[in-house]
Amino acid sequence: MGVILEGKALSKWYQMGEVRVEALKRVSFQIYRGEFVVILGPSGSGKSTLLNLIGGMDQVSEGEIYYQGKPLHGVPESALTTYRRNTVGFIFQFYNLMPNLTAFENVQLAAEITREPLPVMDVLEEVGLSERAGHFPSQLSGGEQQRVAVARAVAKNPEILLCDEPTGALDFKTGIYVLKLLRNFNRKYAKTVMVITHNAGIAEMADRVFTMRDGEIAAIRVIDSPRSPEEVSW
Amino acid sequence: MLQRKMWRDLLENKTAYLACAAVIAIGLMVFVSMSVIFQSLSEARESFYRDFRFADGFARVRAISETQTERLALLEGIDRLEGRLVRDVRVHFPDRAENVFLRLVSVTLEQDDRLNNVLVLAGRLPSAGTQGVLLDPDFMEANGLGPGSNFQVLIHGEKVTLQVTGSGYSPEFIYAMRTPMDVFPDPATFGIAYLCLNVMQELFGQEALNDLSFTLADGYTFQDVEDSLETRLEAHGLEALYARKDQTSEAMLSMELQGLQAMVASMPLLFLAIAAIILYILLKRMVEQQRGQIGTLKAFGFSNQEILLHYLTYALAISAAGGLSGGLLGSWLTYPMMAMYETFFNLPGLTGRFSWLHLLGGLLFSLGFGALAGYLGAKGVLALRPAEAMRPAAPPMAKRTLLEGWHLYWNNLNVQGKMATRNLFRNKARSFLTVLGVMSAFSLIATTGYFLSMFDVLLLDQFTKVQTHDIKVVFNAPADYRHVQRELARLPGINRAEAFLEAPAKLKHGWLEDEAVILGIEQDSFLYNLLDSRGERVPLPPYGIVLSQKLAESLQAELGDRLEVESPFAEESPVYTRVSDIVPQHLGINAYMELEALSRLLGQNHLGTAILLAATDGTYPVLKERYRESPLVFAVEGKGALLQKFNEMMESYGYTVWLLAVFGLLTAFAVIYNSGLVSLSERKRELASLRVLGLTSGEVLQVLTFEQWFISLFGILAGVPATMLLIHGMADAMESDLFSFPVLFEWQPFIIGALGTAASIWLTHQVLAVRVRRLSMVEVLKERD
Repeated sequence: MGVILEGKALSKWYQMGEVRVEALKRVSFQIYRGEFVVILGPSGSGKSTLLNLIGGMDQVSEGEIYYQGKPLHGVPESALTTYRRNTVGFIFQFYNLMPNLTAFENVQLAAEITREPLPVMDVLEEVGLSERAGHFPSQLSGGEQQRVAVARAVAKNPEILLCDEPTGALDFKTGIYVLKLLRNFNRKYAKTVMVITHNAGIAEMADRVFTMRDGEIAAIRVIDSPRSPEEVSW
Repeated sequence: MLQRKMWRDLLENKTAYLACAAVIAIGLMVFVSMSVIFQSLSEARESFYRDFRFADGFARVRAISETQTERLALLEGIDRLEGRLVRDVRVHFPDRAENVFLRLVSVTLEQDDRLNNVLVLAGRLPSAGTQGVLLDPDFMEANGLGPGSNFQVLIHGEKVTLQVTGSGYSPEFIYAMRTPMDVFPDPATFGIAYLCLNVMQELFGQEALNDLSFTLADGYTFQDVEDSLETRLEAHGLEALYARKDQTSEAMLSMELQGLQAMVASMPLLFLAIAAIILYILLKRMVEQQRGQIGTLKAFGFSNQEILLHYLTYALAISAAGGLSGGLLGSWLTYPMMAMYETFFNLPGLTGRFSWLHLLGGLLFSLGFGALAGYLGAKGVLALRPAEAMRPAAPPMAKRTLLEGWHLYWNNLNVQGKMATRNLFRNKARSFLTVLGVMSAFSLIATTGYFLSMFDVLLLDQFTKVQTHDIKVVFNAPADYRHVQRELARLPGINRAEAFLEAPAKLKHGWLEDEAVILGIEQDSFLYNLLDSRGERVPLPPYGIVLSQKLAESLQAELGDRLEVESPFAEESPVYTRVSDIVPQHLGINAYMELEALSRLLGQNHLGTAILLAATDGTYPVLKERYRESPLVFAVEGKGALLQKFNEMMESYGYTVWLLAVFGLLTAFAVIYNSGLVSLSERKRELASLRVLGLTSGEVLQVLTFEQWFISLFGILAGVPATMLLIHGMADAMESDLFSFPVLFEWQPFIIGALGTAASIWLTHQVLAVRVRRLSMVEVLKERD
């Protein structure tokens, strides 16, 4: 398996008035193509910051980050936009669907802007929502909204799927269902999936688990036989 | 502490609030300046009229003796009646190209309390028996004269030297124009001179008087004395009998006051209403956005009233800032504006002034508007319960919109377009208000454009299509034109010479009557044309009288109706003729007849008052020189000087009109900018999510810009009828006997309006583009609203 993403001594700090808050301290890592990575850690450990850098949503303060050997640091905003557009799919804790677009249109929106999208209806079928394609977010339950969000990210057919607490706002059963979708995308299309969570239970389904603390990667654990989502519990 | 929160909130969105305050300021500026000027002008007019005994009625006759005048004064309903001599003469300035006229008005020195008394500004009234004149100050200054200096006028072809004894004016010539057709006073070529009655009688070799003014006894109106005066004056060759309100200077002054009043009543309201819309939208959004904060405040124990008051203070602070700066600016503006009025109106006491009453009144007015808009915008806080307020708002409801049924439209939209369309319907009230705002701003710009272009059209038409002659040779008195016409036609450089008759007349239709000048024009005239509403030439019917639209309206006369005509030029009055056509006319009120038909109607032969000429370029000075001292020719008028005068007038109007256009633009920007800003703040989260999905900032911006273009399109469409209404209203307000604005549908002003609106949208988008580019994806997605 080849390296798809690489971080070298990545640092990120925020200037808050007089105080400099160090969110990430010289972090180095490699992510392989097609693996399922869970980043674990308490709030404020820097996992969201790391995800933002990997997703091209923020610029590094120091250090280097490469996607397939091409730098993501020190590049113009337009390059990051292209990267987000074609390479990355995002899933948020609170779904962030466009409230005035239907489920179908939300997915279509993502599909429209990317180079090789998956057919919108197929993806909605896969998340079990083809029946509700014409509904607006306000007419869908939280779980359904998150499934639309998964479909929206997947429809772009991204190389990397980044998920920020994807089950955080969902009940257990619905959470498992969403995890199955993520796992499915990871295995079926051989795409990289990264999930950040403070829910240690989810970590059991990963190929590798990064544990973060105080802006650093404290440990990397390799799991030889990851559990299936149904076996996971918390 | 809450106040500190307010200041910081205001500072954060300073452009939005500044724009809103600016709109309020414009409204207040117009209100304060115009109402102060209105008040000051009316007061100055009142006291000048009262203190200098401005007459209630006037009459012009051919000749009447002093004894006969005294007898008229005994008529029932007349309080006082005075006769005098009034004559226009040409001033002899050998090195001046244009004609300069002076109206000589006799004064009876023995009488101290005369009607239309003269306010002496410098020097003194001429002493008895001397050829001295008191000049109106504008004429004196414009022609480089002063007390003690001499100049010459032409009386019966003779040069007569007059000496300036001082300067001053009377309530009769506050707005000094030679004829109502002039529209604008021009002190360089026309002025008033007061001189002793007996000196004037001597100069003109005439004992008889030709001008009467009178005041009415208490309880009587002009109508009460009109008939008895008319019958008695008939024998003296009555030329005109009119009430104070129809006196040229008074008519112009009251038209100006009327216009000011219309401005005071409409403009400030319009601007304040727009500002109220903006405030309402901003506050409503702020309250939605600060839900959490409101919940916290309520949880701490702040009462509903306190919180409502807190949000009201935003509105009040902005209204106060806008109101105060606008009020002060308006107060200051009265000074230069009064100085401008002073150049047009000879009226004592015209100075700018600071009026606490208007400033505070206006301020209260704007605060009232602000409070109302603020209350409506912020009243949502009352309904919130603390626990509910601290929870994030339920996801906004979205529905399919009606437009989606229109497949041709919907299927051609990109996703940004769909989002924008649904947003518009999601916030119907706000969309509607924004449409109203854009509509108002658009109408303001378009209306301005309309009047600007209409001035041009009117004047250009008058000089290139109606009065196409190059030179007009005016007779001293109506006479047989044939001799002069033949002589002129033979002169080199003259291509065409047409006789022209301007006969003052009173036209009666049933019990309705009106004064007008009947223009006698040659049958196939090329030098004076009648036009229809499309500007095409209308042939002159060989019989009957052609009425201008306004005249026909005031007489309620229709085609074929029989009119009674009285004219001092007629051999015997009245005579009768029928209406043969009705044509539009915007400058002045006239009736038209074929020259010979008019002559016959008046019982005359080949009567004319002028010859119109088409001539080559160098002819004018030659003719002027040739007839300089002719007893037959009163004046040789070239068109160049007239055109120049009109252009000057255009410029001074233009300045006010451009100011309005700038206000309109600013308002358009304020409305559009604020609605854009509110949309942005409301959808920060959505837009940031789009950025995360990989849309470029340009693509994200499209959601906002589509919405704005769409809404502005409706605003502009609604603005078309609104503009027509506004044009109607303004044309009505400006209309007078001398002047009317045609209300036509023209494309040009709407294009100007649309361009102005589009410019505001474009500018707003530049600001929004920067803001969208700066949207922090990380920040926005971290928390829920």
